[in-house]
Amino acid sequence: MIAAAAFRQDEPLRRPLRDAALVLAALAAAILVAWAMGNAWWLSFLARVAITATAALSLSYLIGQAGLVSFGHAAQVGLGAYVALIAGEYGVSDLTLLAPLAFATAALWSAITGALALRTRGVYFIMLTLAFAQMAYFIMQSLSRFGGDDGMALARRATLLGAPILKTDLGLALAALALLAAALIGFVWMTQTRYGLVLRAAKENESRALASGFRVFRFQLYAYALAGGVAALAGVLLANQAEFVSPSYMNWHRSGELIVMVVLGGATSLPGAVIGAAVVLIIEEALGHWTEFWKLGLGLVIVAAVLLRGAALSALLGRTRR
Amino acid sequence: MSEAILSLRDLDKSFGALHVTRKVTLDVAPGEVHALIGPNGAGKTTLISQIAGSLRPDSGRVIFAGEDVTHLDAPSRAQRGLARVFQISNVVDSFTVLANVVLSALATETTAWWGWGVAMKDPGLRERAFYALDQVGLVERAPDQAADLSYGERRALELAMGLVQNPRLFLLDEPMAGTGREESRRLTELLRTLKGRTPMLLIEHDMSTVFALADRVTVLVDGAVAITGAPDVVRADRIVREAYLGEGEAA
Repeated sequence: MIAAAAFRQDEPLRRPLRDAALVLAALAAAILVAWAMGNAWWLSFLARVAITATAALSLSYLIGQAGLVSFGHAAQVGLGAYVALIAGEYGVSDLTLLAPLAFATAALWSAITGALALRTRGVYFIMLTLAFAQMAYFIMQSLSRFGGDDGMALARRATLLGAPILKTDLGLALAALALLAAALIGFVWMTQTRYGLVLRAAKENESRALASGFRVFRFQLYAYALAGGVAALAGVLLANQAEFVSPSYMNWHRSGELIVMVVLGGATSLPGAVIGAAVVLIIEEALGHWTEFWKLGLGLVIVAAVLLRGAALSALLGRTRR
Repeated sequence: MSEAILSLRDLDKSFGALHVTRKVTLDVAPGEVHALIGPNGAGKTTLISQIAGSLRPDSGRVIFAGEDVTHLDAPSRAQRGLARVFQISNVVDSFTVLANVVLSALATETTAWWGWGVAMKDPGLRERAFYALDQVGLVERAPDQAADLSYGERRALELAMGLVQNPRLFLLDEPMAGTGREESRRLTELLRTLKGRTPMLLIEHDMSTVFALADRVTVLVDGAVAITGAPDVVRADRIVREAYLGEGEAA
């Protein structure tokens, strides 16, 4: 009877899934064009866009869906890169082992640090995530066996079931695109599942979620671990692209850059994070050729984006105020 | 009264030098509407928070449905059937009315973690949600954003969010606060329809609501129970008239 009444809200997935498909199609088309033109630089750049977008996407899930503004997300990316490096030193470089290992390592790190950070809220949460990321940074810096401060070259590029799929620029770009697609569609879908509903409710009104009987802490910790794991997968690909891993992957600048990407794309839009990542990298490349002061240009773009869509930023700040 | 749905035993709470709850002992019988009244600052909301689990008492016990829940947190108590309606309506504003109730329905299922289905399309959850909305007369508002509801409608929504969980006790913190005369009358009517099915602990300033609904009334003065009894007995009590009703009833 009434339950059959159709509401607009019954199709909450249509728009974000359509946006996701558009973003992915555009990236796929760009990769194909670059490949057809034989432009290796563009291929490698697009792979970097897809990899960075995956990292930004996982942070966007944390910020936009769980309301957890992490200022240390680059540490999780870096952990994935270091798993690729260290496992490679021990002869493990097949993705069937490497990917679960990287995911599990970063998810575990996130679960442990998150369990502590989630006891706080707002600015304190931000500072704690930053502190834990700095810890990870200095731990890796002290591992002289794996390059220490200078970093270290990867033993070899990863394989999939023995096939060297990451060997060519095209292979790497397609692998990055596949990871991004899986993460994007997965995260978008998750927003509308039961878990996603609870997570969003807890973000907006924690006392309500608690009073309704949800242990908000567990839901948020799970999101934190999941996002960390996905960021680590991006880190594995990043290490493979650069064939080099150093602590600078975990630098707090990188964490800040990821936040910029998320805010630029609209904090609550998952496909937006992909666009934000692309825009930041394009600005970095375009202005970086011209001037050392390319960050000034990036700054102006951020200011413009924030002023034009103040809602996204105020939503972000609104969460930290609590 | 061992069969009471809720029993407070010597509950005590201080914030520094401020003694807000003094040895409160109170029982809510099954099926009973138990009103808690008292002047401003009597510690009513603090007491509700201790019952709901968002505040820990310094000493004393909270026994809910025969189980000592003193050391359980708010989510655990909610899962055991304690539904709280806040003094300031507490719903998820950006969600639709229906989504708010579906969310609440989820809390009583063990499957909130699992399932890849779209929650809002789940026929079982929707049916439960619409049934609860129907009971409070909010079915027409189901597709609207919760933020767009009137004050009284938000109260009704919160009640629906409680009802969908088939609670064993409603904790109502001043449900009439801020509502207009007409809304207040309708809400009282709504609560009357729920009476007998779900026991309620009702904190209320509006005396007409209290005396229309309550089976028993407890008066809280300075954090301590001054008297508990039938509405007529309480109304006639001299202490109560002096401490509380005096101002309103003297006219």
